[in-house]
Amino acid sequence: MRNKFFRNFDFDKYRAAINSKEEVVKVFNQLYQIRWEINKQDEIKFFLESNNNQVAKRKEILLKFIAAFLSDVSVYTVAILFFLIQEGSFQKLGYFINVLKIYFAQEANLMMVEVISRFDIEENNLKIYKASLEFIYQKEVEYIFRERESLIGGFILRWHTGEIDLSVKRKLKKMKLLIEQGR
Amino acid sequence: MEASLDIKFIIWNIIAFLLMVFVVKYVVWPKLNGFIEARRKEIDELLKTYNSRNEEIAKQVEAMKKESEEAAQRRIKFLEDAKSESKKVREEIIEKAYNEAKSMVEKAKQEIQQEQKLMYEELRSNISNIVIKATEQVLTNVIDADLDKKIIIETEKAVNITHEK
Repeated sequence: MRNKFFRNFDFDKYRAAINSKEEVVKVFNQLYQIRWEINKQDEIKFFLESNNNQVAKRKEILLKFIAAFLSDVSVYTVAILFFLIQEGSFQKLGYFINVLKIYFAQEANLMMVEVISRFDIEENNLKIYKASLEFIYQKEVEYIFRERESLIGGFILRWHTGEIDLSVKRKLKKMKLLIEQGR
Repeated sequence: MEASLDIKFIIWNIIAFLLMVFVVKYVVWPKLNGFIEARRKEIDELLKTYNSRNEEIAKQVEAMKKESEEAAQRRIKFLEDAKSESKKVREEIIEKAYNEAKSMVEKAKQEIQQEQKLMYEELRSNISNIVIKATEQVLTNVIDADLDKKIIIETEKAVNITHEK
């Protein structure tokens, strides 16, 4: 796995260090959650992404910030975040998560699928999609849940190479297109 | 006496007459004849000159007449050409003006159609925006966690049916 921003990150060593699939899923969930929370806080985001600030100070602020909404932070999550701060690539967090997703999908046969919805969804209701994706890609599928108010209803499944949009928002967009085309 | 006078008179008359004839023949006549001949020659010369001039004049008149006819022909031809050319130019101008007018009308029609199309599209877009915004607003208020769950279950059922098929 070669990438100019993350060339110092040993993906294989990292993968070998995480011994369970649950831990991998937990790390992804936490990374996503941290990213979403950081995106909501412009000042924190700017401070953490600014390489002019001291690395130690940025790490300290990051840990305090994470502690405000996450109780059981995985050391593997912190390792990644510290690596990015150390390398001056913290602004590439979203990109890194995608690269990591692709790595796990290719090297560990573990496909992380984002479930974006307005309300909480029980995993039982998503079984059929999981089975279908596992069948199509021949990989183990794990969900990462994310809430988004603007979807109105339904949900979106998004993975490293595709997307299934079953949201009410998309149906409305389709309806809008039909009205515009005068059908 | 009377008779001798008459004979004398007659003889003298005859002598006088003969003398006069002699004088006329050898003195007057040659001079008169020379004068007449000279005059005749002069007249002939003059006549010749006049004739030759007349011929020249006639030739010139003929040439001028011919030239005039040619000029008239040229004039007629020029007028015909000019007439034809002007007709052609006029037709071209009319045709050009007609084509331009036609093209302008076509362009105007197209622009009107385009404007109408854009207007309809904008109208449709605005209507769809309003409809979708209103629907979104209503659905956001109507859909709660329970209804969302029902939607997801219904979607799952639909997917199941499609999957089984």
